[in-house]
Amino acid sequence: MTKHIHLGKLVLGRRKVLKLAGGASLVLAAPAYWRKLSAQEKTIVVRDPGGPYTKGFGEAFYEPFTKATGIKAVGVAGQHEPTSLIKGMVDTKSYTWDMALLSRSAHDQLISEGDYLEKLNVTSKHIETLPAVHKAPAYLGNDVFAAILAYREDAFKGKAAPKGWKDFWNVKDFPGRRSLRKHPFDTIEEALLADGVAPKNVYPCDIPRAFKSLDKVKKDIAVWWTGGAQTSQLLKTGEVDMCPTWNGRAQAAIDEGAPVKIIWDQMVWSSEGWCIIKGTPKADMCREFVKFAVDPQAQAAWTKHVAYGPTHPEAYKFIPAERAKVLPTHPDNFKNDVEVDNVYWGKHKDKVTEQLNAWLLA
Amino acid sequence: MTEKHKLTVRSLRKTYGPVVALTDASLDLEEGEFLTLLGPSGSGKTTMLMIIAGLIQPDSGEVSIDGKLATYAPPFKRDIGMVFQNYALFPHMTVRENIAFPLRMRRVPDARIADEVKRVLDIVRLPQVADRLPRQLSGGQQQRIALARCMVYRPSIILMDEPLGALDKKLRDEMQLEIKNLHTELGITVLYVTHDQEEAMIMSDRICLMNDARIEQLGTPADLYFKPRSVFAASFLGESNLIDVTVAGTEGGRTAMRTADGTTLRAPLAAVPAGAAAKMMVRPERLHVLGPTDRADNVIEGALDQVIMVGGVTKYYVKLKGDRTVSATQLTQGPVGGIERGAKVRLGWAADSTVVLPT
Amino acid sequence: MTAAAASAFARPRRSWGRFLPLLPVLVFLGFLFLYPVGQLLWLSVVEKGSGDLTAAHYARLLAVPVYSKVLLITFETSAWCTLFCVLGGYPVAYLLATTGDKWRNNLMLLVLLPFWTSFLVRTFAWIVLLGRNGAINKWLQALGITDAPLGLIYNFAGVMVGMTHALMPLAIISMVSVMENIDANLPRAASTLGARGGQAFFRIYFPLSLPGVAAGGLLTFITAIGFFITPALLGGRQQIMITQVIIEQVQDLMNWSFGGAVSMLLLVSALFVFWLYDRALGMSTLAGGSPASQVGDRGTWLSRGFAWVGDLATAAIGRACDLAAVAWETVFPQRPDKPPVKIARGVLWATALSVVAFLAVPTFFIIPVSFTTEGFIQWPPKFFSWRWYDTVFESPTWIAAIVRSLTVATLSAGVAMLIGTPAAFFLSRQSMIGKTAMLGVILSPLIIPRIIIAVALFYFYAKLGLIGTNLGLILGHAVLAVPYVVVTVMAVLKNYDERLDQAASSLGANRWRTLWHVTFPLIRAGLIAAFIFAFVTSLDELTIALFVSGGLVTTLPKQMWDDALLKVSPTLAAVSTLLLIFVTFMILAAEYLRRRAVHK
Repeated sequence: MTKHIHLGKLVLGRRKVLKLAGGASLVLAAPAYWRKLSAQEKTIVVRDPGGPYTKGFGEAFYEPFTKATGIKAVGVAGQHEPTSLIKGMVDTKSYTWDMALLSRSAHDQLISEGDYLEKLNVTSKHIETLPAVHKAPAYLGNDVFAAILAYREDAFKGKAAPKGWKDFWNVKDFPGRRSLRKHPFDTIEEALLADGVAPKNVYPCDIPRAFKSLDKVKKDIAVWWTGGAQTSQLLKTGEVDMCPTWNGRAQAAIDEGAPVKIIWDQMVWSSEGWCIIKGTPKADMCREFVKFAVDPQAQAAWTKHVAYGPTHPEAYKFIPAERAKVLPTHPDNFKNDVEVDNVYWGKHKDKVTEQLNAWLLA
Repeated sequence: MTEKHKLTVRSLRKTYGPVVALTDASLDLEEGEFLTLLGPSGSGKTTMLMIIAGLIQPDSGEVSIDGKLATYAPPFKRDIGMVFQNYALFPHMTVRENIAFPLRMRRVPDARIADEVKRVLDIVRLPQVADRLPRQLSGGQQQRIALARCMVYRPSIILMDEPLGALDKKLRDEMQLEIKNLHTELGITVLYVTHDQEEAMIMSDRICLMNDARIEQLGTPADLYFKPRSVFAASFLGESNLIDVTVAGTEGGRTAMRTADGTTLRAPLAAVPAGAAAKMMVRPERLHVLGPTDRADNVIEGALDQVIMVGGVTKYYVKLKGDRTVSATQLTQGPVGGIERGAKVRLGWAADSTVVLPT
Repeated sequence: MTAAAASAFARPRRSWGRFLPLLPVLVFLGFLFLYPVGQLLWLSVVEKGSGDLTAAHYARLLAVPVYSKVLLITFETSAWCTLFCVLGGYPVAYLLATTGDKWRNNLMLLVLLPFWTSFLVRTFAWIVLLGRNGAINKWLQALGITDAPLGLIYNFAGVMVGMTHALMPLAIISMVSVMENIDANLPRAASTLGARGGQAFFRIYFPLSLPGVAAGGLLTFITAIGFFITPALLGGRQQIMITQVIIEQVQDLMNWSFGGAVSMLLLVSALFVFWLYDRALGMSTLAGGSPASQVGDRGTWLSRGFAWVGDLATAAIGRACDLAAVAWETVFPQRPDKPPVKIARGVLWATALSVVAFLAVPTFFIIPVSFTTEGFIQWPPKFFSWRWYDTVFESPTWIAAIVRSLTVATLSAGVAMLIGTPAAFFLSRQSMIGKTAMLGVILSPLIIPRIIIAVALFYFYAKLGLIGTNLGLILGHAVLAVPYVVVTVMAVLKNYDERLDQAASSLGANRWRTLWHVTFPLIRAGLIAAFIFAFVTSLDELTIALFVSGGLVTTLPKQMWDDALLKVSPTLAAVSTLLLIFVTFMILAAEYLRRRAVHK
């Protein structure tokens, strides 16, 4: 009856529908925001981890770079480890970003999975003096972050405080609430170090030994954390007394007045560095940026904002002593250390993650 | 209580904040009686019904059912049945389950439930729909099932809240008769709510006319029709001619009144003091168009405005001085002719058909 | 009209034209979900490099027990969460549906509170409330109830608290929208027919509210499956959710093939659960089904069995309640001349208000925290500072993010409504083969982890040039919102009396006028609920926004995530408070306008 007649009318109104579809496709074809941005000749889009990074990078790198070269550098925050997105950009040639600050492990992954990053092929006085450990064909290190053991000083008032991973594992002599990362990275290394493996022998990891070591503290771990921001909260509120975390997160709690202490000994560190996304039309401008950014003075300026260590040793010339003390690459801190072996992890991450999950559930 | 009524309601009052929904309501309902609460919407009739059903609690007053005080007794302890305006059939139950519901609540054995369900379905002449869901029934069928569900456990009183409100005219007429027949045949006691005066007249033994949260008049349909006690009653039930008058006094055992133009009219003795302003009411069918020599107790003159022949009756609309129109209804005698619009006519009626109403 | 005529009238037209209402949803999900996601999931069966078909990834899934174990944990967690949401939410929904307008609106505002705070803020609120040195433990110790702090979080209980809190509004609103359409005369009729409160409720009201319970339960369960942040932050060692595993595979390991395989496992098992649910409860509780087919054969043997057990159970519970009431009345006899004390209603209010308090507490905790002088979300806050509000107001990024998120959420909810509502009408009123399968497809966007949808959409959008556009973001969020709209609208239509429409059209209203003037106002509660779900989904969505926008356009969740990189600062509390005030104001304004319109 009535309703069918009207339904019929709609069917007949096909021409209208076509018109609508035409209109819609016009909207679909509207130039995207990023295209407008990237179409501007002298602009590059740089992915950074966001938050305090973006602010610090602006002051230390983006603004001075624009001033010096006339090329505008726009920093945007991407999600944690944006490997999938970069793969997508290269596969579809949709360059939302032109370059990125990536963790060494993300870099290694993008190199081993395919051809997703440009060879940098840049050099300068400062790049030449950058320690070799921070250099790769598609990567130049910018900062070092370290997984360290942080503890609440007030929890060990009048008692012996822990001095390293061994003490963290020693539940009897160092009672207190403990937290561990719910992820194989760092946790496996820490378990081995606690079990007496020398820093230089950590890789290739003895996984069965690591799990045996973990077995010893399994029931004493009050909190299994998953995100960095969680650890600063845990330390600040005193939810736990000991917690392995990245030094920057512990520092965030310390800066807010929490009685937290960082143990630098046997730190497990890795780095973040500059990478250019394969195929971006702005690759050369990005190279300019990389050359500009690998600069001790610029690196020093950035450490004001985030407590990660500059990769260039000369940066310490420009950093106030007070701040330098809390950075991982400060000579006082940077010893007896373990550098994360991303090649090892690239091969074993999948398997060990699986094993860790099984172990956690057991 | 001196005598035992089926239902006694005394001085009920219910308010919602500043709004008075019902006040000073008292009535008695006799065994087997069909009593209708009639009134415009908002007159308090549904409130009264809900209080009697136990679905609303009164602020004050008393309700007794079968001589037992039940003012605040919960509905399920009252032994009443209720048919709702929208039937309130349970949509997730079949007709059979719907009708069986009150029996199950009374823990009647299954075998008897089956018999009883069949019995009432036969009474409402719908034995074939037992396994259907309510939404698969027509409005009239749902109505009858609602009635069946209510009758199956033989409650003391059946309350009906505008049960025919949602039906079309033809179905409504049919159902009115059907309910009336069921009432007479089964001797059930019914308290019925409607705003339709015709329906009330057709079905009721007595009508309780309600207005503005109180009972206006309670009596048989004839009482209400012929002896309304207020202007509201006179105008709500049936057509009426109302003329402003001043009471002149008593005259030969009758009350004499004068209209604005000085005509004297007479009515049976009424308790209205001389000199008071009042309204005189006479039903259109009591008015006669008088020939030049015809006489009557009361006579008024006016100019003919309209003549409408409605089949068996013809309606004459006569404009009085001061622009008031009265209508007279006469049995149709043959083709209307002869009298022209604007012609002067005399209308007359018996003093006994006249009612004096206080204003 | 006779019954025969009535059903002839309602009989669907046997032509392809009747499928037209399904067209938008099919086209929409086909292009923006099935095609791109299908392509990505296809990777799970091809060998990398060679492109040959392989079952290796699935073989691994089956060979390594940890994945099925995690899947089981995910389902278990979601099921418990659903149970708590429905059990706790039912009294609240019932109260909302049966109480007066004034109370209803105020309570509804409180129930909706958790929706307007970001998942991140909400979760951290619980961390600070329930932690070892958190507010609750401090109070318990101060009152001398406990000696040592209780382990309220970092365990299963913590996950339940966080997830139930986040999802209960979803369950409540689904249930309310159905309950509001239950004729208030039905329980009244039952009581005049001799049913005590317990029987009247369990035999009449409860069965009629089941479509709402079914819809709320389904949406809660399926949404819960996708939760991973809350379980990660509030859970213990054993709380690992499958979405977390998939994200690890896609994001950290770049193993899309295996990530796809795990997603397929999740999808297939979730759809299996849905199918079982359909068999047991009968999606007919949701979808209605054609009236003619319902008599005699009411569903499958499984659903008949369930219905039988359900009937017995509800009747027994009803009887038990009544026996308790009778016992009570023997001890405290009720007098016919005194108004009764409404104990049941009192218990209902007490229960519902405690649930509402549970929903509202974290929000009321957030407000004082936003005025702290400290840089962390902590209890008790140290007063008093506008610092965090200054941060928000001085930052164009924050303001832009708030404005963009509200706009995108409104538009994507609008799109989802336009697409989902016709489909819901079709699915609830017309019969078709494979209705359950169709519903399964519509529900899939909620089951498939967002990371998969995000990656898939990125590739698809790249072809269309939609990357970095607001339109892309709106459409992407609408994909997630459509299932909520379809299920919610279907649930309200279930109890809707189609004869009202027929009455309207017999009175001369055409199809659209009928919809606009009769149907929509009557199912208003359901439409509003659907809109709110769609709106909130977009407002709280991070992953798709990150991929589609490439980080160039900032949304609120992204900005919050960004801000919480090193620590969760009270800025988030300030933003949440602002959002809360804004949304509450909007709701009150809308309500005011509606009332004014009604009075005119």
